[in-house]
Amino acid sequence: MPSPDRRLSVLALVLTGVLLVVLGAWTLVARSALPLALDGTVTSVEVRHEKHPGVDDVWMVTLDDAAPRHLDRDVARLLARGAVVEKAAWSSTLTVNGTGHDVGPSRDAWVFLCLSPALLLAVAGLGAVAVRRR
Amino acid sequence: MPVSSRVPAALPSVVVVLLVGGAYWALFPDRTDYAGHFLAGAGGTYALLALGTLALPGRAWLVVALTWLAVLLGVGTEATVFRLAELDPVDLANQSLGAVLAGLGMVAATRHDRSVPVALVAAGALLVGGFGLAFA
Repeated sequence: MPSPDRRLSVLALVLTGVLLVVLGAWTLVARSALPLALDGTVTSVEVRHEKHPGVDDVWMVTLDDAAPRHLDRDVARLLARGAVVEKAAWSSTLTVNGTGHDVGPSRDAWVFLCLSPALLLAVAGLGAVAVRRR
Repeated sequence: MPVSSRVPAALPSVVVVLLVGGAYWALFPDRTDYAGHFLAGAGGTYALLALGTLALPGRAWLVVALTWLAVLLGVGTEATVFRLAELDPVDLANQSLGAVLAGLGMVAATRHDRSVPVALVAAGALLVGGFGLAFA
């Protein structure tokens, strides 16, 4: 019979794992702008290079005086300095200078969302093995 | 049904880490750094937990504390020496998830169930493979 100490430890690690899966999924979905409410004027669009320029570039977009926000390349390419942007949270339409554009999760976001149940299963499964071990 | 203690406690988690790492590699072919962060996070944590198990075996809360420490060390390195374009929460999530799976594998480990050598071998292989994929 495992000790209560081990059960609580496993629970703490499993909860940590669940939070991390949610963090990864949310971050990738948020980069599509889908869950975001946007209303303002673009003050900068900056491309920052990562390890593989052209593949994993980071597109940072600033609206008014807000902090730069990492958006998917396909979304950021719709924007330019001075563009007026409007979007309701969870709306799939991003309005740029009065013209609507469809936005949605990137391929990476969809793949991570599809992988998430397997990640949660891995966390829960190893937790169960650890609890049942003599 | 209780799981046999004849199998090193760390071994199932090493298998799961390799399977999940393989899934990352196959599903994100343009982003091998996702798999790299995941594997390196697991590898670094196995190393830390192997040392912790040698020093203070059988203390489950120590494994939790060291796993969280590994997560924080990962945040620190991503924010400093490995920071390129930004501190990326996806990289943090992937490497920390690797750390958590390693922690779950070591939480029931003892000094005598061969988990320590398994964890040390896994640590070396996963760190080399992880860094290789992250910077490939």
